[in-house]
Amino acid sequence: MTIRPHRVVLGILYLVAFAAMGHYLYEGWSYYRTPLLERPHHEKFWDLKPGGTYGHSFGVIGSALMIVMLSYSVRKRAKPLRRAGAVGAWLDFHIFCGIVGPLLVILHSSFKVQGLVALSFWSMIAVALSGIVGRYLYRQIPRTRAGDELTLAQVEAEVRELSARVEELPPELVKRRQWLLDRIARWQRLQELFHYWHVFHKPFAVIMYLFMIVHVVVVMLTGYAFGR
Amino acid sequence: MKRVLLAMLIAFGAHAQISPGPLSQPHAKLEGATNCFQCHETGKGVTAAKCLTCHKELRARIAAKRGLHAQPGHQKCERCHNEHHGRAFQLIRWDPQKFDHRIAGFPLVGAHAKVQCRDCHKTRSYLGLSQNCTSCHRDVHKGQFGTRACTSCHTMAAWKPPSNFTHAKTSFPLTGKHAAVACAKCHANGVFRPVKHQKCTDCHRDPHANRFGQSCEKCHSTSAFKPVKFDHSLIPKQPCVNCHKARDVHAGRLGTACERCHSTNGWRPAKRENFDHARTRFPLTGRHRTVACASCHRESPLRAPMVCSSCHRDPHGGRLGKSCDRCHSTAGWKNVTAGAFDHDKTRFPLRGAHKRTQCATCHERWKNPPLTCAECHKDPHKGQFKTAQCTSCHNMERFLPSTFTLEAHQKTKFPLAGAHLAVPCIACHVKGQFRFASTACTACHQDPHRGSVPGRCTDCHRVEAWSRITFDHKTFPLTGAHARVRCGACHVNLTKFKGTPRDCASCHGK
Repeated sequence: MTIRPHRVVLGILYLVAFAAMGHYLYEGWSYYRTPLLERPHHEKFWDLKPGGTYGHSFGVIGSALMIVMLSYSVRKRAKPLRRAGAVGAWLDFHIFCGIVGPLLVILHSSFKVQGLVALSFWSMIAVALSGIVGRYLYRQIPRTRAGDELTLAQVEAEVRELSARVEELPPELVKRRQWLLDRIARWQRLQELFHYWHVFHKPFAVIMYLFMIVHVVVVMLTGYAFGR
Repeated sequence: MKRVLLAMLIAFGAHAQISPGPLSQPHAKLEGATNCFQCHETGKGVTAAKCLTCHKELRARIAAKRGLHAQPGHQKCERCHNEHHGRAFQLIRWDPQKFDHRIAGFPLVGAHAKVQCRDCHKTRSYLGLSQNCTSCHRDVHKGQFGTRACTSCHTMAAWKPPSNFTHAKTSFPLTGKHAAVACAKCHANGVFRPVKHQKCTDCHRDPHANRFGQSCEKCHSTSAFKPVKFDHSLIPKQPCVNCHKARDVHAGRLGTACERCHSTNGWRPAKRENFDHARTRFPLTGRHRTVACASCHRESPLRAPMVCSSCHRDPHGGRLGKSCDRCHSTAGWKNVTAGAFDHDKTRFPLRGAHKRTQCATCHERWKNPPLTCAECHKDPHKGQFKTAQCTSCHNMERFLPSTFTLEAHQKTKFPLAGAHLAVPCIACHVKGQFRFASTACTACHQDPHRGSVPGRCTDCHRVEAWSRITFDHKTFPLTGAHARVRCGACHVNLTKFKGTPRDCASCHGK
């Protein structure tokens, strides 16, 4: 099995991101463990509060990643980008952003996830978790060798075609036919689950982005734009 | 349906996003999505200007550059009073004990450093205090000093004494004795102004009844009323007594020619050579003439004690009174005036035979003659009356006869009765024996029955007469001639009473 180049890059990015987040988590451990009512009196309050020097940066970078991750959806849907790299690579990048972004937003929130304010936060968590589930389901979707998804009709057509000449098929295609048959059977079982995944991932993503926009607008209006 | 739910979710979420958390209790009334810009300035955050829109008291203080919030580094409200941390959040949290009060523009010094914060700061915000002393302290002067700062006289260390005050800067600098006078003596009832002080008589009584006018300072100074610097040239020449008579310490005894001893330069020193002690109440005679002045004039050159005991020790211990001159004179202590001595004034007045005794009999034998009889006289009773006073039986006229009477004898342990009354003293008290071991009859009388009769003597005999027998002879009634027979005729030798025969033949024969 060959390692694809983009995975090397992403591996380095994961390392850098987790190292950085680990560092700030370690540095801010005393602050994050301080009860909410006591935090404003903590020496690192003005650095690590959501609007603080670092806290704000976590939020901006995290939300920026979560905006950049939308490029995957664009790649999937925009016809002009059909040849802009394999969908799998985009998905890997999407997953990277979908993991590091929310984690940075968690740091940005300084673990202050309570009350109604937490709604946006939990939306993000729901999106991220459903993304992980989706990643699993994604692995189950039959697709072309280029990585493009196959519809059920396409799969069934391929199965029919392969079944018609099953006798003359080389063992590789026989195996492929069997795999497709398995997928169809499993897919039908997972269809209901996949339905829920859609309910989760996309609507919550929409809510999350709406909240993000509201949040950023409010922050800018109330005078806490980045750099102030 | 889904869209409605989504819209509600977004609406909730939007509101949640607008407020990062509930406001603290003091700002609770500002809660709500429509109130954001009550505190936040669009694009600028929470500005002091917004805060001070409500906090007008602080705004005024900052404008006046007063208090903590006017100090550099204290202009960003939210640095200390951060919000959106919940109702229970302490918007003001600080340790008043650690607060550097200099930041507030009023360094705590002296007594102010010792008081508790709340002794002065009564409001929750600690604001509202004026640096004007009278905003906290009662003006005990009741506005007498107008707008003058209290600290021009008083310090923050203590109200009393007013260390910053100096009377020298007033219109009445204190000099001499005035400096030692208690404040309240002039400033009674706390009145500091106005105090009348233009004339000395505003405070002082004029002992001269205005005879010398009101310019007291011509003669007197503030150091002391005396000595005076009276300028005698101010008045016409006249006898001293015209002015000084009332205060002539010699009470006129030394005449009116004061100038013989004194001058107008001063009452003292007097010219001693002109002084005549004989004109005083204590003319010097005898040995007093040779005594140094200071021996008597120990405390005052003018006055000296007048009684002997003030200078001389009284060897009689005051027993002979204070009139020493009855016996003694200034010629000498030992030159006692003949016949002046009265022995009766001593502790041993002479009575009876003592009056006829020669002085030397007692006073040559003893330096301090004894006061008890036994120390001079021999005791003829040889100590029989140790505890009794001699004078209880004898007087000082003569030793005998004794003053001990029959009445006195009746009070002894042996009252005299019957025949004993007729017995001369000496018959019992042979050879000066007055104390007897027993009062029984046999102590004096011989027992004729030689102990043969039991019982007491008085069972048969009476004290009036021995021979008067009270014995009842009923066992052998004495009748006829028997009544005249002597007891011893039947009771042989008076020793045999029991068993005496009763038949006739035993006595009268057959």
